[in-house]
Amino acid sequence: MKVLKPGLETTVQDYPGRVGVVSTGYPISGPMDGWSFRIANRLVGNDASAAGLECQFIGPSLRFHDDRAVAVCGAEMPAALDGVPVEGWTSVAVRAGQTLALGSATRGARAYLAVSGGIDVPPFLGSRATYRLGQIGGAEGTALSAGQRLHLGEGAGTPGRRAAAHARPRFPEDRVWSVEAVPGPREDWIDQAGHARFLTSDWRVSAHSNRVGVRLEGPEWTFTRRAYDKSPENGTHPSNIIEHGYGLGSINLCGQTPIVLGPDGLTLGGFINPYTVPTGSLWKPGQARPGDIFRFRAVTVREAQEARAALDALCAAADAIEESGAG
Amino acid sequence: MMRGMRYEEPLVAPNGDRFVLIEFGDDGGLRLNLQARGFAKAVDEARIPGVIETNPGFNSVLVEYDWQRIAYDDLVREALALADAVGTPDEIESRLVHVPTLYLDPWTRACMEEYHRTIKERPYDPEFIVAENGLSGLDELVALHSATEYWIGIIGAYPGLPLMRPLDPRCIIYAPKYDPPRMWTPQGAVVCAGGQSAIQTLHSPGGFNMIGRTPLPMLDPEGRIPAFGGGIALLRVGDRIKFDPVDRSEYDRIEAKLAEGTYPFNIVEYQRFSLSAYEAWVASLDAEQRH
Repeated sequence: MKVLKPGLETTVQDYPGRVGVVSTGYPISGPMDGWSFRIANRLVGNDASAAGLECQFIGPSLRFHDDRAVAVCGAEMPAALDGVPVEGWTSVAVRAGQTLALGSATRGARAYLAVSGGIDVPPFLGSRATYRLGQIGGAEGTALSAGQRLHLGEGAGTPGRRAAAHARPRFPEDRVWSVEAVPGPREDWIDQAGHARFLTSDWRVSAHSNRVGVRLEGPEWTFTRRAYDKSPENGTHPSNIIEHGYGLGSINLCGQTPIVLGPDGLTLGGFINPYTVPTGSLWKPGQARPGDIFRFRAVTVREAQEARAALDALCAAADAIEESGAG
Repeated sequence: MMRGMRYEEPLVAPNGDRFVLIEFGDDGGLRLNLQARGFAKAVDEARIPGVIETNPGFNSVLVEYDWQRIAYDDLVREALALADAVGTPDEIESRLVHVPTLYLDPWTRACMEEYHRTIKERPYDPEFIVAENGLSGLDELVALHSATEYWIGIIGAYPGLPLMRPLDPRCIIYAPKYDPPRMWTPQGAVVCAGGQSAIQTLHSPGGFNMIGRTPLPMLDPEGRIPAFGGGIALLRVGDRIKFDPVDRSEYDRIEAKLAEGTYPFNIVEYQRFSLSAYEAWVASLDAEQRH
């Protein structure tokens, strides 16, 4: 398939991404909204490990050289096949020579395009996921560019499928997201007033958000004695700590700015993580647009684990995918 | 580096639904670093079902696990048993890697100038460090920074990036980080902040002060350079670094040899590092300074 227009920043990703190499400093990468990504792969009949495209805000235009099934999931992003509108969350047959054009996202931030057979770029450290800063994975380690050709795996795919309503993530109409957060690992550095502020305030998604992290703007953080009473190697600011590993989804407090660490985020660093967005909820920062509001809700480790298991079960369930008969 | 404040029991805290952070103490000393490194290795080698991977910090280890295969409480119990059994290794293999460095180089200078122009005014990093540490001038900064071996306590944040501390406590230099951080840093920049040094492995954002640049690549994703021994990163935790000052013409010669594939990396492979011998040496220095 040939890239006619690359879109704003379209990258090849696979799910879950690059696992097992974090100790060398490579982040996991992979799709920011793994829910929509997994459903897209199922619609076109791909293996769960197949690579697809993450289309951020403005999607690409692609010309196909053979017959394929495609599906666009995630953000609402208008799509047209040779000018004829194509519905999202369905798998559609594409004939050799046809052009699929994606537009600008109207709700949500990232649309996922699955193509039957998957995008066949060479894996790096076990994954095809693009990590742009490290210039590895995906198509030459970076976003798509006009004129580029992408090899596809074998498969005409399964057109005529539709994702069940309950298998599609819902984006809030009022752009106010309820986002789960597990306290820790360093919640004991934040004082009671700080916790109360975190859990009751509106946090605005900053325009300086990307796959590395989603920055939030909101009230001041205040700290316990523990944040000041520490050895000098920790650094001077109360949010400074001796460098330690960052889990995916950590709410990383850089001075006064909380950043929800994304799939291309730092693997470790010297700021505390007072809360963590659990992995079953990471599709929310993945689909948030600048100006959206986050309201955090504290959940226990156990609740977060059950929510992740429920999401995995939903993405794999037989009744998540319906035969629509069309296509 | 002083002997560490080590917790009686490791501090264990969840980091969301899939990670647990296990911290051994609250300082930047080598004892805690060796303990964390030894513990991460033990967890990796134990191949506990359900453990995905370990991510060692300076004095802690982040463990990723799949709770459907191992419950949080069971993971913590098994990990703490391993931590007890491992303790702190006294002697480990430690390579010495020579890193030719052009101090006060033009590329990091240009990067500072851009920051001053587009983000905010700030003294030039080397002059800032000289003032912060009461040094006599730039010559003393270069002499001090290149006089000691550095201990790589962590690899990460970015791929292959070494975070290191000077082994000779007389060579510690302090300087606060950039606020806000830079949007980019030249690849190969030699940087320092808060008593630590690092080498930027990528053209990436950064917050440490820049004092020089090495022509050596820190990453080899395509596996082309034999000196990497099949690894992606040149450096490993537990390696020691020696920055060798070079001038511009030497820097250019090294860069040309690297491009040809004829540069002889200087990596001393046969050495071991003894924590107790090191701590005794540091204690003797402290005694001398008291006189």
